[in-house]
Amino acid sequence: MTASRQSPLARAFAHRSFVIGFALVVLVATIALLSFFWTPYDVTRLVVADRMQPPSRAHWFGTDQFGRDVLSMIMVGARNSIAVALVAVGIGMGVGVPLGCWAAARGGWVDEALMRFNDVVFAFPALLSAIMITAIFGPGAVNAIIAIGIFNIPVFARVARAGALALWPREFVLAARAAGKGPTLITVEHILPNIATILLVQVTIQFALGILAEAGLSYVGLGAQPPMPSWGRMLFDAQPRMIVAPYLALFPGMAIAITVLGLNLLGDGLTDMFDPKLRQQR
Amino acid sequence: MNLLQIEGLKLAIGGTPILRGIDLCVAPGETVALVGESGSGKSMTALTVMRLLPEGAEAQGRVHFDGQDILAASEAQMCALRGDDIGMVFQEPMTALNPIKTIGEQVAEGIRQHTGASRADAEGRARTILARVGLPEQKFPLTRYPHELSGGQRQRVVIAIACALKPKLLIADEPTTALDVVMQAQILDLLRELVVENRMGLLLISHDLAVVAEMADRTVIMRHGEVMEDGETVRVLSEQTHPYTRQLAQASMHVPVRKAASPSRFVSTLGEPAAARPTPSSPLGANVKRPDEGGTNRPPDEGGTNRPTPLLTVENLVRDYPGRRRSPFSPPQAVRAVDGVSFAMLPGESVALVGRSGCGKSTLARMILALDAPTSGCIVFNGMTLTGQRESALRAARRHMQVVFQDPYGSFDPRQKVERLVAEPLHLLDRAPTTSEKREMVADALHQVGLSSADMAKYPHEFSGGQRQRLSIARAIILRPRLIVADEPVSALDVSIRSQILDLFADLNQRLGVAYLFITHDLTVARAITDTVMVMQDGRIVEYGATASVLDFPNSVAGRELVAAAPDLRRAVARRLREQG
Repeated sequence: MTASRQSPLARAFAHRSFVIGFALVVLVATIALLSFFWTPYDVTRLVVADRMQPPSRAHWFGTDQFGRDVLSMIMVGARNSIAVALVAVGIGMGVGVPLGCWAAARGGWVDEALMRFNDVVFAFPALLSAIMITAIFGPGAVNAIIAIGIFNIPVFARVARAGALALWPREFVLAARAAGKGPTLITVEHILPNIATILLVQVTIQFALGILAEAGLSYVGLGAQPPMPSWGRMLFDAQPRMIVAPYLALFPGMAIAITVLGLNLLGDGLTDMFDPKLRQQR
Repeated sequence: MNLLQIEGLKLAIGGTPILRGIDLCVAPGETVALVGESGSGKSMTALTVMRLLPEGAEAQGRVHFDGQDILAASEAQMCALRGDDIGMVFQEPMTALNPIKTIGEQVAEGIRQHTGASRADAEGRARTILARVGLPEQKFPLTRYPHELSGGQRQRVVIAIACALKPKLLIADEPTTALDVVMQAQILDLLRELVVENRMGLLLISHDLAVVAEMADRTVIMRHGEVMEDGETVRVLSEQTHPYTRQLAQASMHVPVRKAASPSRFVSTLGEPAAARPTPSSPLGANVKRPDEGGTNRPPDEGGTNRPTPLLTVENLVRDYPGRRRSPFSPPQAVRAVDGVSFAMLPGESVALVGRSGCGKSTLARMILALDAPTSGCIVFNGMTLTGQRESALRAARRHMQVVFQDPYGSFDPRQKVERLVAEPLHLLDRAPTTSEKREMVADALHQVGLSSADMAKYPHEFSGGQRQRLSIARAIILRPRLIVADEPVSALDVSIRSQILDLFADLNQRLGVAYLFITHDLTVARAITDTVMVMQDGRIVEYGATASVLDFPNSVAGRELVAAAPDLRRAVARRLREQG
């Protein structure tokens, strides 16, 4: 009881997995932002003399087969991963949430048609279809974003619709209707603020999946193109050299793992905080 | 020797004291009522006996059941007690049953667990107990699911589960609060019989003194986690020596002071309530049984010139819902929720729409509020036809009608502040008011309902149930509507709060001249603040007339049933005093 009186912020920072997740995500985001202004070395300059160096004081994470600094590449790669995942989640939310809200508000055949279309999109394995899309439209960061974004749409549409459907029969929505407010206004004023928390949790999940999807796409060569470094491509390049230079795979792999772990912990923390039932049990 | 003996029970949850030294005992075969308003700790007392307290609760004191120390018992010992020696019935029959198990399974489950009986054996016993609680197998096979039963029938299943093993003590926590009065009377009768049959102790938790007066041998009145008074029910309720008992009793019988609606205002020259007069296009004979047909009330005078224009006219209103399909390809069978309803209401008139749950009252209210479209029929409000209009055309009508819902918790968006919530209907004004005008109107509305303008910056969860209902009323009156539809506006409130809200309704009716359509199954509410009563049954209006005459001398079967079942504190105490001699 007393816990619920605390401000949401104070409550959030009393939650362990939220704090750890938040810290990891902030760390990755800071590194990505920092890479715009400063990296230890220029990632586009190839210094063949320094190739394949193990981690040292000059190159903390070592260098790759072209003598590029791995730390610098991971920093720039973070920027790429985050940008792709962020925009893809943005596309998914921007299209999916309005569709879901519309389906819930309108009901009837609109609802039916939208949700069946969703089912169709869902029926394709997301990564395979993303590969298909990039195969058709050509590889590149932009197409990767679009491909991942499209598969976020039905996820957000479903979550938004489910949340909105539970709210529409509530009395405060009836009262708003009695006040002459139309479906759009009610959705903006009452529905969206009340489903914001479940959407936020979904964002952290989709964000993590987006990072993984981007890594997967660039691993098979369909993501960001060289010379732009990306985590997935770094893993791909490290694969044949696993025995001689395991650090080449270790660091980008850890970068992916830490980012995804951070986002998942953040999502867990948010779920716990927003779900009063779980909160009581903890 | 007492069955249940509680001495000096103290309970704190997370450091907040909930109970401060409760003494209570229940003897075998005795019915003890635990009465109090919300937050008095009555449910927590029951949960302590069951040891079903929430996490972080700390209990001190002595709780002895049948010679066993409950507070010291292990979880395994408690599991053996729960459902076997102590049964419990909860308030909400909708959530107390598992929706994906049949009623037979749910009753048999407890029997098998506690007695180790075989499946067939347990099923046989389940059959017997279900028949005992009024669900004979011929009509209610064991394979029914909870959603196929009405609220009262579900509560019977819950009672069957609780009583299947003939417990020594039954704890019933507001067992009838979620039911309408007719079902309430039936469930109370059943509980009374089971107590006598099994010589069970019954701990009945209730906020309703009238129910208690009919049921309990002894009454314990609680407030703020303390026992205020403990004694024989008849003595406690007839003498009312304790000031808090008196306060509760008065609140539950409270009738707001209102200028008795002068008969001349509502009664036409023919001597019948004009408002209740049927509209010409809907001849009464179709579905309304007149109280005294052919008697003093002659058919309405169509050309009557003295009649004021009605505020609301409802003609032959029908609403069908799609029901079950018999096969995947056949069209769904329609369920008729409202079946040819016609009536009219005058400006400033207060009308009660009473009936049992599921009779179609709420559907009717929604259609009047243009939140639901009728299948056929016509609604004219304030000179404008509502049926078949586009939403944009309804704005003018919506300005003049507002709504107050039953649940003061569900009727506000939890994420908005009071200022925005109460200002919601201002959306209907043609010219959007400026921020300062808006604030002024909200402040005025809050003032009208007895709240202060400082409350504007708060969130709804910062208010108590009664205050929230005031907020709900503030939102309804901010545009000075001509009609407020109130769907069970006080049934979720404590008696003392309830009397205040009824006063507020009566007061606003006088000051602002707003007409009310009160939807309720509680006849004391109808009696307290309405001029006219309509009794609804199976989607039809079966009786109407001046409130006092309908409630004192009901003519329809449905009306008589409601009046007979309605608990009445004064009558119950008088009857029990007579019985005692």
